[in-house]
Amino acid sequence: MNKISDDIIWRYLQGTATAEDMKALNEYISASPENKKYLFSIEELYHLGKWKYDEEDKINAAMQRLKSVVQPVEMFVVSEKKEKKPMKHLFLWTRYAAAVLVLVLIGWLSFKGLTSEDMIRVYADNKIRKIELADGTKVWLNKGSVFEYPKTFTKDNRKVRLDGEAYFQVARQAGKHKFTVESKLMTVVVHGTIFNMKSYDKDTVAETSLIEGEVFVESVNDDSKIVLLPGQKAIVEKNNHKMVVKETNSLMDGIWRNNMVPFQNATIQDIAKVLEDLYHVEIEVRKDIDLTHTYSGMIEKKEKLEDVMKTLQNSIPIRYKIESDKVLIEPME
Amino acid sequence: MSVNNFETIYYGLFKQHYSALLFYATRLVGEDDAEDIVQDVFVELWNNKSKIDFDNHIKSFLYKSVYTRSINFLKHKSVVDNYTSEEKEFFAQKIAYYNYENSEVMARLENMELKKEILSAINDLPDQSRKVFKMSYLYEMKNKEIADILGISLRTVEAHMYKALKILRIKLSHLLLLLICFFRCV
Repeated sequence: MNKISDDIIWRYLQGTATAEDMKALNEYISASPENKKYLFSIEELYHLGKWKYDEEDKINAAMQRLKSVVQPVEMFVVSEKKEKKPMKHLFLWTRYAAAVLVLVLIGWLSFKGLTSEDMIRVYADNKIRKIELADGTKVWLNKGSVFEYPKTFTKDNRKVRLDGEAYFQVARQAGKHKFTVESKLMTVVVHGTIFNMKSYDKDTVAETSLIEGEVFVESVNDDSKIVLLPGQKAIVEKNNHKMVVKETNSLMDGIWRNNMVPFQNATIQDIAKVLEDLYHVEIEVRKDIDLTHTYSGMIEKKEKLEDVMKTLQNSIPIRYKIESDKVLIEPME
Repeated sequence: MSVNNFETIYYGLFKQHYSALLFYATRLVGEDDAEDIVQDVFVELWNNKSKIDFDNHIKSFLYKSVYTRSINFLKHKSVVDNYTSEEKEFFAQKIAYYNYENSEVMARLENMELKKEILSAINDLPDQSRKVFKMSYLYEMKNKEIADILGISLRTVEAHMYKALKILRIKLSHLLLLLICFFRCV
């Protein structure tokens, strides 16, 4: 067998090869070493083109991950003693290294809460963590967040607690069982939905923005309640506990989760505005730039704005100049 | 070897070899599990620092460890995921091909230079095809999502993909030949 159809190769590369395809592939690569080399070379090229892990920020992120396993220098752990204060007890790694190491290897740190016996507490110290709960709900915890959830969910109690920022994909359960997130300033009640909630205990503002579905938001210290629609954000301030609802690009609020910035039918001006918010810089779009053209897709947020500009420059006909106090975007000559 | 000196060498090795080792592991076990395998290899290296010589052989130690771990992982996975006999045979062939002692294959895996050529070929595609192809290939969006975002029909998306693949196939065929002939032709 000396030929193999492109369709089969394409399905193989995309991971959708059928049983018959696998048979054909086996016959093909068994026929000669050249065939074997041909197929695997194509596969290598296919993956090489989209290979990202040779980029510095990816390597650094992986190194941080490794470091947190081999050198867990210091960690916040819950005090096992009787003090009332449940947090902020700093232990040196030496004493707890063994225990901590095992836990990190499992995937994330979880310590039993002190206040209630059946809660599991998860810390995201210097890394974003993803947790999947027993009911299928997915939670991404931003750095510096603490999250508590019950060991077992009962039918009518899916109640969790957040001190920090988290992106929730709540699994819908038959029979309209509620999922409740409590925090210091606000409580959010949902059925099945996607939303981002930012409510650090130490902060004076708490906010929730809805990406999909419907959520019910309550201010903790006052009776304001509101049902949010997608694209809206509810904000509670500590000093007056009043709840305000604002229109927002809610997808933007979840960017920290995977660093992907989605945009739809956006002009260069729109994109510049997003980048201004993301990198806290002023971006000036030159007047003669074509604003009738719109773009859709994703931008990956990188450590430096310049790296994003370089990528953009490859897909959009622009040039950029970094000046002392701002970035200038000009049309490509 | 002092502690600090060891750390410098250790993290230096990581920086230097991470991408290629991960690419290697991905060839064997796929994207989802490759990262863990490479990380485990480096954890093992850390835990055995007193027993391992950090000399010229350290690189082959790393590749060998990735290889061994990948094989064990696949053995386990073939049971858990209930691989068919065809799949088992295919992976057996693949494992044999990517043996860390196969210096020709290994040299190629370390060569990331070709990536630039692939990307420039993609950037040379006609406007709309390039957009569609990038969304599909680089951002792994489904054809349906691409159609929705660009406001074009599913059929048009497919046509653009077909066109892009056809052009790329011609452009990249010399790269492929280069890959295949890498050693034999020089």
